[in-house]
Amino acid sequence: MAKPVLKFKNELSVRDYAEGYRLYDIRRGRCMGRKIKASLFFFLAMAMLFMLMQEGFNIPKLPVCSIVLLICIYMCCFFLYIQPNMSKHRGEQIYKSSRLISMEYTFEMHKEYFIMKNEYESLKRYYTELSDCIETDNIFLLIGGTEKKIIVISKRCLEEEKKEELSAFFKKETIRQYRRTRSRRKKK
Amino acid sequence: MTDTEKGILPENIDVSFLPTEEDYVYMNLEKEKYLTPKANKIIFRIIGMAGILSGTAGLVLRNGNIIETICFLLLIAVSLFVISFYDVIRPFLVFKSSSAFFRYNEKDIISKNLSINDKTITVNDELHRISIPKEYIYEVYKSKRTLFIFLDKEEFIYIPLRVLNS
Repeated sequence: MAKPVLKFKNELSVRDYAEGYRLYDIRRGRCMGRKIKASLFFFLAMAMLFMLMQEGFNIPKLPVCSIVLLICIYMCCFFLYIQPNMSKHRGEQIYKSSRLISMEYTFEMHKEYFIMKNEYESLKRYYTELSDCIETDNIFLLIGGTEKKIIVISKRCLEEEKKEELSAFFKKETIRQYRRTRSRRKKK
Repeated sequence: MTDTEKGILPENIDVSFLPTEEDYVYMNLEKEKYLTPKANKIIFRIIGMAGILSGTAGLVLRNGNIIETICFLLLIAVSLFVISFYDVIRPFLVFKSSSAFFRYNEKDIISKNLSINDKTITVNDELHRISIPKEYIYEVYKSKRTLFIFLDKEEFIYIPLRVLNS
């Protein structure tokens, strides 16, 4: 077997996995297209508000409009804030229910694929199988494949030099799938 | 894993199988059915019923203008959608999407070997190998056509029952 380009050990914390799961849900899961869904409800809410305004906010006259308006406001909040938080919570639950995710894995990065393994599991994944490779301030998230769709690599366990090497490696090997996101708080 | 779940899990088997489109689609349908919380289904039905009742009452009791009539009809239509979401619409969407996913990724779906002995479960294919003690299993669920071995709340190994029955 060819020698790996990079080799490192990684162990996930509940925070890292939850962050990864939330991002996965936003990109490929239940929260996909949340801004479009929220926008649709926003425009419906605006239409209802307009109808209510025309009647001088006479709510008993247009009760359905008022109910639809409230539902639309709730749905906007649900898609933009509640659902991503629920995903994060679900990620935490998944982490706690698994005895494999919290174990230490050894990653071997090759030119065409990577292998992650520990004493119970070994997975070989080609970069062409990946649909997304997302880098945040704390994690690398690899999405794709027909099983074990979410692979999270924590940056906390990596040395500064290794982080940069890995970031450059993913940028080079997963050109189409790679994207870097930064947390808004740090930007300020 | 509970004692009942231990009973569901077959013992001392060693099989090899290649999932078919039918296996894959039914696995997804049964998984969705199992993983969807019952509370969600009940809430959707209650909301749907309330919507239909209030929409119908609005149409019958109020002599509203045309916009209001349209609103009530829209409410009834949305309520019908909500009430049938988990029973008709979602299974249909899952059926369509998993069938399309299988056809698109058919070349990536490879045969698996599964062996279960007294202490461990081993599943391996060309790319993925898991060999875990039985204590590491989170849950076992047997549906009409598939046996699910959950490793956590979401990740699972599935075996079509046709493989075990043959």
